[in-house]
Amino acid sequence: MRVFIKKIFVFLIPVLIIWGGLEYFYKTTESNYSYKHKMVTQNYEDIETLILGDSHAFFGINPIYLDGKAFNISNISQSLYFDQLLFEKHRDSLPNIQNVIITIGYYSLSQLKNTKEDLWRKYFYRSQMKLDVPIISLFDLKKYSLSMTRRFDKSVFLIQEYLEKGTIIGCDANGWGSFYENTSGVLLDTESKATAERHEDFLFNFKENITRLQSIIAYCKKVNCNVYLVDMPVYNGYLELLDSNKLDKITKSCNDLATNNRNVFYINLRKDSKLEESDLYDPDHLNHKGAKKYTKIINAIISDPKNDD
Amino acid sequence: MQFNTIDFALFFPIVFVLYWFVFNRSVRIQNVFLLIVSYLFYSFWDWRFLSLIFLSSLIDFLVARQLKSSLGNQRKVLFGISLFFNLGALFIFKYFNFFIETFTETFLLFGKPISYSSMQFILPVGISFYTFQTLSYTIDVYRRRIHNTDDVVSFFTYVSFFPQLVAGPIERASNLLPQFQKTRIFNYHKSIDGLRLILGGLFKKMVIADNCALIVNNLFENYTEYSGSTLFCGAIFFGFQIYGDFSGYSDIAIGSARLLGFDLMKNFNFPYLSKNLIEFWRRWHISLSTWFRDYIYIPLGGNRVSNSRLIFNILIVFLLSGLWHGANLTFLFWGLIHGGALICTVFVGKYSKLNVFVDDQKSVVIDFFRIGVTFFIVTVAWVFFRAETITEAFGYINRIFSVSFFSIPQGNKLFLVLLMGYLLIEWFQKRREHLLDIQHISLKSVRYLIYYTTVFLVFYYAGDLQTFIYFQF
Repeated sequence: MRVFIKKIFVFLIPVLIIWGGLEYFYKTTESNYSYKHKMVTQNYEDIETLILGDSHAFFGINPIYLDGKAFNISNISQSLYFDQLLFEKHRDSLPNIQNVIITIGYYSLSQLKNTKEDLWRKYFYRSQMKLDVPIISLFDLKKYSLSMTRRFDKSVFLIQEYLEKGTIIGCDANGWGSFYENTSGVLLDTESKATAERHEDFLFNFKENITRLQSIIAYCKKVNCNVYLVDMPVYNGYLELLDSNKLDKITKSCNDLATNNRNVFYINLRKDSKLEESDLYDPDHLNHKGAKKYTKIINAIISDPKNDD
Repeated sequence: MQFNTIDFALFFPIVFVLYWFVFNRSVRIQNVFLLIVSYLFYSFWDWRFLSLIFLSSLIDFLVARQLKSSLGNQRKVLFGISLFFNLGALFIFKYFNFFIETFTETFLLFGKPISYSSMQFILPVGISFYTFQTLSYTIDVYRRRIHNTDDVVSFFTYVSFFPQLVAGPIERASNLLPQFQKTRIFNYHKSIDGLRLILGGLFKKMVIADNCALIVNNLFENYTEYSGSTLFCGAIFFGFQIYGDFSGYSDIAIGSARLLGFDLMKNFNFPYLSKNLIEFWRRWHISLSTWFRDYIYIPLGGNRVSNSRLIFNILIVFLLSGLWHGANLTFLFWGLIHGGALICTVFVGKYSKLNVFVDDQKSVVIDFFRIGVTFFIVTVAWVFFRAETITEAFGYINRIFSVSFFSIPQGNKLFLVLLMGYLLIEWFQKRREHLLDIQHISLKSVRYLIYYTTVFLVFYYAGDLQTFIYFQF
């Protein structure tokens, strides 16, 4: 038995070394999550506009084109569940908050918590954004090791990226996702179908996510802060492949929130006629040019004095 | 808790250490410990269904005990009680809605709609496996093939033994139960081999099955948009998915049991190298096919019967085998295809002089041809196994056998070539016990290179975590 255990241990030494190395990498290398956490904390006093949402906000709303200090705390595949957790964590530390922008996409309101998208991300929110994440069980071993949360090939890819660029951070100091420079290179029509299929969850129950939005809205109302629900512009070919009934329901739900709360405004840019193909990285994400254009449009709406009581 | 998770990677070493170092004073203490951890293991899925395993174990334990001192009709009644409970539970949880729906649809065909309300039952994980395992015990005691046991802990542990509880191998009491009753001594070589089995199983599951799953899910969900050749490749991918998934699970189960000093029966023996369907069923899910052979086929008369009765016997076994897999017409069709093809194989072997499919030939070329034909039949049948509905299955098959069957398949060709390469490795290993049975390689460095390469492949090329397919059965 002793020989057996000794042999297993010796055999596992290289595996343990690699695991330890990866763990060290994740613990010491700044990622979007840790960087955003650091930057938002540093700018607590100055932030007037906080941007929440998923990749549509991450790539599509560039804070430098908004009046006043803004910070984009959105992340790729960030659900309203995490939007709420992040907002609740930071809200009391933001004395000058005036606007909260939340992007609402096709699946935002129907998205369940703890989906496939959160499979590894939830541990990064917990570990690198210092969130208390209730969907992580007490007995979940992965919360103690970030390297266990990601597939080995993804970790290797990140290390390669780090070695090439010296960083794995994909956003600027304001939290804006800066690596969708031009286009993805794939034809928009071809990509639209796959994207629409990926986004179709066949869910129509918005109740939980509406409750999350209402919670954010209620706090904002208390501190005289406006909430802007923004449906970002997307490629028409993609839009046509989505369920029109669900889109109508999204519009209605957002309109209802805006009607019932004087501090809520719904900016529906989904079918905006000013969108050009050159604004898009792919069917549902803006590139640098598009982000600049539409952040300015959003800014113009936010700055409209009609929105101030 | 799945075998391919961090949770199990921590759970098992703890069990291993406690089992050999803390609870090693007597077999009984070890068995009690195994019973507790087995129930704990199962409770990670759904603790409520522990009561079902407990009841199933209790009834069969008591029935078998009573059978010992019973005679005549009393034996039949006792046996009936066991059958009623075990098959009843299986029927309620697995088949109730299927039969009700089929019944209603049949009435509808004759223009007589009847109303019904289906009940939503959650399928307890592994119910088909442990039910068949306990049933085999009662049947063997009833037939006086084995003696019943009076050791309640051993029996309960035999039913719920965690390595094979949720997806087999479906063990026989004659093989496994005595192992719970004798002192288990740690065996170094067996344990090392257990680790090899676990590593090979993880490779099959995480690298082969989980990567195939991504391709298969897409092709089956959107089959109307792909060419016949692509869909045929999709069926091949599914063949590898289910093989990697299930045989991978079995290897890990057998390996884990071996580390605890138990020998479980072999469940797969390189099935895709089978030269005909008879051989395929001797190599695929061996524990289930031998179960059906021993408890259904042979009691029906086996092959020592008239031709018409032989056809009936084979068909009944394969229809039941299909039904065992799930309450869906797709599984029945899958069983029917295998049954029909097997009948053809049997009769070709019996009467035809062109019995190239069943005779042992010495030519590798002929061997490859026979393997190819068998693989083709099995692959086509897998379409029914994978499809959600019978309409989808026929739709998929129709598209396969259209003109586009002769076009160049879209995407994933390299992966297909790699899978064929994997089959070649199996070909070289076919006389060995399992994939990583490489003790015959004298150079230690080469052996370790193979082990580390496998570990690397498991970590680097693992697909997204998928639930083991056979858990649903």
